[in-house]
This record gives sequence, structure tokens and C-alpha cells, in this order.
Amino acid sequence: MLKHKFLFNISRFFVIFLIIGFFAGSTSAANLTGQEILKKVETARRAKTVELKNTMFIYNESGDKRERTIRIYHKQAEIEKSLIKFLAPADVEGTGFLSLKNNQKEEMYLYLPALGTIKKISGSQKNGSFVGTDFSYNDLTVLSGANYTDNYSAELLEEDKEYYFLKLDPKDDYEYKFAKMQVRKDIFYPVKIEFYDQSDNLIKIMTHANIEKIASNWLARKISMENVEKGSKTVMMIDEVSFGKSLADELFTTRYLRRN
Amino acid sequence: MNNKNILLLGITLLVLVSIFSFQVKALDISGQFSSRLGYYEQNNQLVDRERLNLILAESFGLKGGLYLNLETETKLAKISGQNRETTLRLSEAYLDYYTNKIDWRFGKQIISWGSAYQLNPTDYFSPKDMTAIKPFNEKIGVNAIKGIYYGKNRVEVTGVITPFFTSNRISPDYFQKQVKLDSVANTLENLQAGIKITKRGLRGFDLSTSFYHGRDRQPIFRNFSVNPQPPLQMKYPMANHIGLDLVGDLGENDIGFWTELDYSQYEDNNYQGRLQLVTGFAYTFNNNLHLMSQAYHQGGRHQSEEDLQLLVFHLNKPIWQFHSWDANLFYDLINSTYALNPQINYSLTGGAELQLGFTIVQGEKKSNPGYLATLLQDMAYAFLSVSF
Repeated sequence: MLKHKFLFNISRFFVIFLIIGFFAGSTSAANLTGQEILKKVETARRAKTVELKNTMFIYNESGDKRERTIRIYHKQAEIEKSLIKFLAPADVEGTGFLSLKNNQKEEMYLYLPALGTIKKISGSQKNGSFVGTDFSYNDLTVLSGANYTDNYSAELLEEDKEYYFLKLDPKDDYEYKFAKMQVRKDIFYPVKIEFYDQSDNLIKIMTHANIEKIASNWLARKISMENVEKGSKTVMMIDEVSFGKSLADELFTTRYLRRN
Repeated sequence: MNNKNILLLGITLLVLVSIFSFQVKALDISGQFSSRLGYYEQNNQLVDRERLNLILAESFGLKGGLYLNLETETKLAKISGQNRETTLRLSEAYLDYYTNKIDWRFGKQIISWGSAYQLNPTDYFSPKDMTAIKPFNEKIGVNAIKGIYYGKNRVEVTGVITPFFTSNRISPDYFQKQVKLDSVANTLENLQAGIKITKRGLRGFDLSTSFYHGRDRQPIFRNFSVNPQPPLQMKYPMANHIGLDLVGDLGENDIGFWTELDYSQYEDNNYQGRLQLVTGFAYTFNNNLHLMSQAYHQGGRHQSEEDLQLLVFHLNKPIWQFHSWDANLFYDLINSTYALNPQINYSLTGGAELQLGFTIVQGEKKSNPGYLATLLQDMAYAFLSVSF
């Protein structure tokens, strides 16, 4: 049961990761307010479809490491669709995850090859953190282009030649008191986020590195989340990526979720 | 190793050689080794099971695929006994064939129906291995033809035929010696068949209706005389079932909800219709604690057969990054008995896990011939699994 939950959480994480990971380039502008910069990050165009292969390295406070490899298919349409297949390690190989998001309602399914069955998953499992990783869902929604300005108010703290430095305050209850975001001016791409607790202590740092332009899309090849409190870290590497590929709607169905 | 096992091994090797000869590059080979050790306090018994699964999978792309799961198991039931058993079997062996609208699966396969947690009234086809230390997690493959039709508006129609009846795998020690269990012949009249119609995305819910004709996997006494004379005879009664399964989220907080019910009508008029119903909720908190609660009712098939009413709670939570703990609590409302089963899941490395746990039982411990009786024993266990 826990393994199923773990797989679901990992899968759900990557769905959100897809949203935050592929912002396209945009022209820079002068004299923008924090809220305007946040809006630009939010509204930046993203790829309609993407297929990629990811390897994730999870380190605990002792430096021990676990590794997972997955393949992701994502399609941005009236219904936002994602299909994730686990490739490694062997104990989770063949497991599949399907997400269909229509407005604010999301349907999620998990395929477990050992049981030969598809399970519909409760939406509450997106609460909290991703088991075995240093990410929480809230960490990701801070960067999500989907609901930025709805959920956070932004203040421009400072800027230099290359970066804007924003302070994000959540509008509702949140596990962090606030976050600081560093945004590249030229492409409106967030490169670093710091998360602070209720006592203003830094507890986590997320960084986007190895940023490349691939088929008109900016892409961070490496995303890290460091838990300063625990001393643990999760690093994701994008091994293969393909933007704008034709992905049939039939791919994002329970039928194809069952198939290897 | 008996002749049947040798034949099975021969066929498997033949298939392997054939596959290697023609499609070596596309063949996916994987497997798992598991070692399970259980100690039962009541009879001071130690059970030791080692299992090796070799899985061969071959995909034919959009046309289908082939899957073989060859399993060898060695089991020692008593620490001082001489009865170590070694078994070689194909736990699953099937061929997938995909057409435009229907996905077919032919061969030995595990079929799982139902959305509830571990107790699934509409899970008609795959029996359970009740000799396993944790029988809820151990399903047995059955020979079957399964077809799933994918229609418009996310409607799915699943049809299954299993030509032979397969009972739950039960330990010979399970029943008293005075009890004799009927065998079921592999004849056409014992064929099992079922159909399930599923509509997905119905206001956020998935709704399934199912119909099934076949034998109960839980045996029942043939006669209910006041002073029965041994040996008492039990049988697997034939019945027609109708089932319903609803699963989705409730409210803005997305609380997981499911309800699954089955009503069975028996061909033998000595038995009364039986209702099985399970309803549950699940929620994951921000601190990663996952909580599940479930209520289960199983009616008796005869006035002398006791109802079963359970409350089930399940919790799990990750710890130390790679590891986790979980706990199950079963409370028998009729017998005022509960069974608590905490467990630690320790990840040794990627693909290797050690599970340590125990079950304690408190209460009246009334005997119940249902399969839950297996759960109600004081025991401790250690599982090691390595996937490759």
C-alpha cells in the first residue's frame, strides 16, 4: 500500500514538474512590479506536448542514494493530460500513472502490474510531501505557472543586471511563511527559490540549473531541492526530451495505462 | 520434483528457447527473490518460504505482447519437521492481443476487480493464497480469457471466462480432520463467467456494475443437521452474483471514498442469499500520514453461518527518507476481537526491501471459518525481497 502511495506521489510530482519546467523565452521589460513579474512567469508560453525521460536521485542525510527513472508524456489541451511510466528500479518497473485535469478537478489513476489492475486515486494524496523526496506539492505550486497570482502576492525586493529577486507571500494558509524567488530577466525563468518557516528560518532551497533552449523552449536539465533542516537532497536530471511531438489523445486513457 | 513440474519446466524452457531464437533483442527479463519467515505463537510454528520469480515479457507494440512468470518456491512449514516442499509453477503465462476496440488476454492471469482496500466483494476471479503469511497480498493466477471493450464516453465493458474453478489455496491443517472438502471437476458446468460495465468520470466518480456466475471460494457445510456425524462435508456452492462498485472523491478536500457491494443468490436452496458490503474513506494529511478507514459486512449463507462485520483502519507514513511504517487494525464487531498489525518497511537499497512486523490478537477469538480467521493469529514475521 505504501509503495503504491509512493509511486502515486512521485507520479503526481512529475505532473506538476511538467508545468513548472518548460517556460518559453520572453522579452524582458523595465520597471515591472513584483506582481507583474510573477504574472509574466505565470503566463509564459509552454510547450503543448512534451515527452521526456527523467532520472531522479534521492539522498538522505547520511548521503545514501536511491534512483528512479521514469518516462513522461504530457499534453496541454482543454483537459490537461499526463501519462507516466516507471522504468527503474525493477520493483516498480511497469507501474503507470495517468492524470486528467479539467479546470480544478483532477482524476488520477495508478496501474500496478503485479495486481493487473487500475486504481482510482484520492485527490488528497497530493497533500504533503512526496514520499522519499524533498519536494512537497506546495513547493511546486510556488513555481507553478497555473495558479501563481491566485495564490501568492509578489513583492520586488531588488534587481540587478541579470535577475529579479521576489518575495512571495501566500494568500492562504501555507506550510511556509514566505518564499524568495530569483528570476532570470531575459527569459522570466525562476532559477532559485528559498522557503522560510514561521520563524523566518530558511528550511529549503530549490535550484534550476543547466538551463538550455531546446526547440524554442527553455528547459532546466537539473532541478534540485535541498532540505536545509534535514540535510537531505533530491536531484532530478532530464535525460531525453522532445517538445511538440504529436501525442494522440488515446495515449492518455486507462487502456494505454495498462499497456507496457 | 514430480512429473507435472518437469513437464512445466520443459514447456517453459521450450518457450524461452523459442523467444531467444527469434526476438532476443526485444525480450525483457526481470524477476524477484523473496524470503519470508513467520513465527506463529499459538502452535509454536515457524514457517519459512523462499520464492524466486523469473519474468519474461515480450511486447509486440500496438498488437499485443507475451508474459511469463515462472515461479519456484520452497517452503518449510515446521522447524522440526521433514516436510520441506519445493514447487515449480507458472504463476502467470498469457498472451495479449489488441484489436481496434478490444484488448484480449488469453492464458493464466491475475484478475483483480473492486476498489475497496483488501476486502473486495466483487473480486470474483483470482483466488488468494491463504497459506501465505500475509494472504491478502497473495493472489493466484487463473486460466482465463479476458476481453475489455473500450467504448465512447469512457465506458469500458470487461468480460471474463475461466473454464476451471480454482479455490483459495488452503493449508491442509486449516480444516479439522473430520471435515471433508468436495473437489470440483473441470467440466463445463463449473465454468465461471463474469461481466463488468464501468463508466469513468461520472461527476468525478467511477461506477461499475458487475454480474458473475460461478462458485464461492469460501466453502460451506453441505448439511446443517443438529448432530452432524463426521466426516462433515463442505463444498463450494454455485451462485449468481450482482455487484456494484463506486469510487471517487468527496468534498473540496478530496477525501477518497468508495463503496463496493455484492449480492449472491445460490442455486442450492439450502443456502440463503448473501450480501457483502464495504464502504471506506481515505485521506492524506500534509505531514504525509495516510489514513484509511473501512467498514465491511458479510452476511451468512445459512442461519448457522455467522455474519462477519469488521472495521478496518490502515495508516502509513514515510520515515527517514527511504523507509516507512504502516499499521492495520481489524476490529471484529460481532466477536469483539481485534487484530493489530504494525510493520516497518526498510529499504536496503534500490529494489531491495526488508519488512518486519507482527500481529497481536485480543478478544474472544471465536473461530470463524471465513478466510479472515487466518489473520487472527498472534505472529511475527520478516520479509526480504530483492527485485532485479
